[in-house]
Amino acid sequence: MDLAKGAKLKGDRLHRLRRSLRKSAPPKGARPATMVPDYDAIVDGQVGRQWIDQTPDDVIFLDLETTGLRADRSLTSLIGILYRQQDSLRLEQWYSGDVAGERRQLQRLQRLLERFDRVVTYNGNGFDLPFLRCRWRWHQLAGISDGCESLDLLVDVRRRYRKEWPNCRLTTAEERLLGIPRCSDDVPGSEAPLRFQDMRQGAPLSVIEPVLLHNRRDLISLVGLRIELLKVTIES
Amino acid sequence: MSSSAESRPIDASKRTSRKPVDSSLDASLDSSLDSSLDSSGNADSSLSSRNGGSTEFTASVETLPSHHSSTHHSATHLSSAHLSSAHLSSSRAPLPTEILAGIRSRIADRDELVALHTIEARPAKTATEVPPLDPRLLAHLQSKGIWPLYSHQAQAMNAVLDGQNIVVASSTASGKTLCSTVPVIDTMLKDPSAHALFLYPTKALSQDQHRHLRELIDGVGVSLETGIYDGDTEPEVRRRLRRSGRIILSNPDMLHASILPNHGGWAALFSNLRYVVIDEVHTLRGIFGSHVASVIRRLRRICRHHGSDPLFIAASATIANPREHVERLVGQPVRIIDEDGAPRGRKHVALWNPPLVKRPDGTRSRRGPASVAVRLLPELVRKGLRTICFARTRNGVELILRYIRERARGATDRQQIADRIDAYRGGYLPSERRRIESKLFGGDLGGVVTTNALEVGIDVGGLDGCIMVGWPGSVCSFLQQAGRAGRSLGESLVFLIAGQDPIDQWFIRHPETLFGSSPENAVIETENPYITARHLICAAYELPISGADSDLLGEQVEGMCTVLQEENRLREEGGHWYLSREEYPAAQVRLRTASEENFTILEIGPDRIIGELDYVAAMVSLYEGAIYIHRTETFVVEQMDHVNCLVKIRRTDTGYYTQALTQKRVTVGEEWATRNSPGATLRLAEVEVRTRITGFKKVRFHSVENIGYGEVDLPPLELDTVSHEIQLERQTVTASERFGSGFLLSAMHGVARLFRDLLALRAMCDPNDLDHHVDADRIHIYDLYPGGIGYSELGHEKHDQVLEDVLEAVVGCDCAAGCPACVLPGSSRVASVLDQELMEYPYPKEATRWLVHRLTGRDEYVPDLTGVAAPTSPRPESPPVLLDERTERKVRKVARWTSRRGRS
Repeated sequence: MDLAKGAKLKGDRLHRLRRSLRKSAPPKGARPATMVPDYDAIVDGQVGRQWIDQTPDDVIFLDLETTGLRADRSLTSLIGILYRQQDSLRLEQWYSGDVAGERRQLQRLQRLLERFDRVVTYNGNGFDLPFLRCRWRWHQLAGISDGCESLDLLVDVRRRYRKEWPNCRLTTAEERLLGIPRCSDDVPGSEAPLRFQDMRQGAPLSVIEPVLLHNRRDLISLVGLRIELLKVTIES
Repeated sequence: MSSSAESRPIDASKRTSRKPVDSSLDASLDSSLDSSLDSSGNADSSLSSRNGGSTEFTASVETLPSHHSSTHHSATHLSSAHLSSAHLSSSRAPLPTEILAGIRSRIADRDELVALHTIEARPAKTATEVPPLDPRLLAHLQSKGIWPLYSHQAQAMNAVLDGQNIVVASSTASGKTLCSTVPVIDTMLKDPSAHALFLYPTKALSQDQHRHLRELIDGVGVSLETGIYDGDTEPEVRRRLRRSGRIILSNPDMLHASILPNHGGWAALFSNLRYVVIDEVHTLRGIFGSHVASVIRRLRRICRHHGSDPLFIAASATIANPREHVERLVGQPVRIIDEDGAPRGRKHVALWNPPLVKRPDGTRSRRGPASVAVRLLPELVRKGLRTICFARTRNGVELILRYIRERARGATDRQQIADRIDAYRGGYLPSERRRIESKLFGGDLGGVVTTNALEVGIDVGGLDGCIMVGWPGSVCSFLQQAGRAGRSLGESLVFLIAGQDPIDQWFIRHPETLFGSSPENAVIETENPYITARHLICAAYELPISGADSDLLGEQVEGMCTVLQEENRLREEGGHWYLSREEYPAAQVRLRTASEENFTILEIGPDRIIGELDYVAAMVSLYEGAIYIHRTETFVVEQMDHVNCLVKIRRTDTGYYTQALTQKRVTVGEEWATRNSPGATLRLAEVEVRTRITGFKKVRFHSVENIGYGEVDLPPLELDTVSHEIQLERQTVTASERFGSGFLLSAMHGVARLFRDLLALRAMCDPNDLDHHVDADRIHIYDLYPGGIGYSELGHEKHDQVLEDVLEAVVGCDCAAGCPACVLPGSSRVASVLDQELMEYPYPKEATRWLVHRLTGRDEYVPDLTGVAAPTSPRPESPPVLLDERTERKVRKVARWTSRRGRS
């Protein structure tokens, strides 16, 4: 029996389907994602000439903030990157508030990463890179190619200082190797997911400002940490 | 007793000559049972189907037959007609044929046993070739005596190992389980990364099947982690199974609401999923089946994302369309294995149609089947047959037991028999079920009374007798229940006692359908946008949707996503669609109901929630003053809250039910198909049905007696669905005019009503899942679900066959001019009659018959419009009086003797 099946959604049926969809309970607290513009700045003033000069241009620094630890059920809320652009260091932060937005940012990141040979992170092997790979796969996007190497500074820090230091957190390495203590108003990274969630549920942008700041400081530290660790290698 | 292989009516020539038994005492026993039970449980079962209750979907457990080894050993002893001995306590058990003869002389009236069908014993058909299985598996099967394999088992295994999707459609206890478990385990022995998913419609079934699976796995001696993943599974077990479970047993609801949305945590399963096994696939029909079809498409998409493409292995009971059904369900070509190589013992099936009894007011109606069961069950137990008795409702179970005990009062021998009969109650605790089964098996219990819902889970090798009180609902269920009787290769007895209902009576007239090709089709609709759109939203949560998914999610996927985006459920980015807001859509979609806006039914007094009713059913059948029947208890609706979707009911004892008086308007929309037919034009089309309840009638049970009216003021229901339309030709209409006013209307209503009931039979759905409407020159039969479920489509396809059934029902009914068992409205809650003219038309049966003749292209039928009119007069209630068995038997003897003497 050859039927012109009704799934063509003509006229009346389409109208009824819409009505029926509207009747089904809307999820609580759901609202369209807040638009957060990209942060894009030259950070030369915060790093100093020395650091800039010792940072090659085939290296990119990366730090993610996410809505949770499990990649299969979390989103990348913030992609923080820093890289050398001619004689300056450029820091960018890209926000995504929902899964559709995440796709766009992940595509941008993938294209950007193609220009570099190494990705520098802190615990990127353990968290950031697997997370990204999972999210790329979920969105059915191609990930980064094997040509891009990972340089996870935590690996070096652990190897060298695990026995000496109380812990191997980035702030500890910052203090001990770079001599820069974090400000007291710095919000710990663990608070980030909650703050992002608050904002998605309607809190103002100011709620995630501290997270953005924290992320920038982390990225900047990575620049110095990389140089310091290299020095130690050369010396030893 | 001859052992013919055909069913034949018994003593047909003697049927009409005797006066029906005229005992007011018989009548009162059965009327009290009837009024408590409603002879075929119609009013109650309709609700359970709309509640989407899993009780409607019956299933059988596939036992790794514990008697399997004895089956093979005794293959040469087929000629023996003796029951296998070990478990019976008596010295020489009477033969079933002797017992049958005894029953006919002592309990049944001569014309009550309408047909006797003997299914002959049949030896096993074994496979000639050995499937290429792992030697450890082969060794295990051989050591258990499961060797050689039956032909269909080997065929199935070979097909699966060859990479084909299959559906095994064979009878109960034919060893279907091995058809799936063996190839799956074989694959796992050869491939340590392979995973499998087994889906069952009920928890009880998955528990039983897990046990069998473990026996097989442990018997082979391989280490395989398996487990049940459902709502009852503990968190630690869930974690373990996600991480390292190789075989996961679950159900479609859990798959939909938990496993698929969290597929990231199931990466081990989905990246290596080799098989999806679906048991009792015929139960995945109607609303539930249509939802599951969408769930399976989501599953396949997720598998593809993770890199696997599983094979589907389905097991089905006997229906007319297993292959087509599974193909529609999974969206891939499927091979059918339907040759049944399992051996079986001889089975005698007796169809019992209780006699027409004359009521004190002169009308005649049939005695209820329960009153027969109450006598029959103790008789079979007394004769040493271990018997299971299936009643349609829980209440029915309790009542039958109660009456058995009451009738046994005062006589110790009868007491003893009654003590050996118990109820096999629900509760699904495996330990409880095992206890009763072992009592039955060990001889402490001689008989159990249970509901259809428990035809699964009986794990004894088989019983000697089976009684079905009223039609079990489908041929499927009939075969499954009848399959409970028959241990090893011994003989067994099955009784089907019919109720007064067109469907029951249809099967009495067509016993061959019970043993030959089934008329039943599993029906699902895979393109109902109300269902598919909801699953698209669920799918978007799982993975982004794009045009590349059209092979799995349908050609319309991009169009539908665009609509969903306009409704703010999805958002598009880079050619892919995502959820636009943070939500967990699977929690909002229930697979067993048609809509999300179910009405909650609250009982005032105890203030407890009795259940839910889906939106459409509630809108057309519930209103203040309506009588709501839940498990044969009656309640009255006190308040309908349309805003909060809440119905408040109160327990009440009435002798009546209510029928809504509705105004309906059917507007035809897009036509899907059309063709000409004798006397009419047929159309299958989308329709909008606007139903408004304007009032209601109070009708006494089992009659058409109207004892009052009520008014309601309710918003109308607007339903977008699909209808099979029969538009009468001009000539048909004009030809009817000479029979007077009201003739054609009555004829059309009679045809509509019967078409609906008999279509429901073929579609294996409840008649309340359909509705009919008569409009000037058109009859509409439509699905009572938004978007349609495929029932009216089946009606359109099988129009001619259904009309033949209608004619038979009319001709074959013993009533004079029309009755609730044929053309007059039954106890359906949705049936409505508005016209006084229609109600009072005296010859509905004749009118209907005339019309059917025209619609089937037969010669003109000349209706007889004189004589006894169809009943509209009241029938007084008889007070219930119970006699004990001995006295009753004496009274009957006297009645028969005096009536014989009275005839000269």
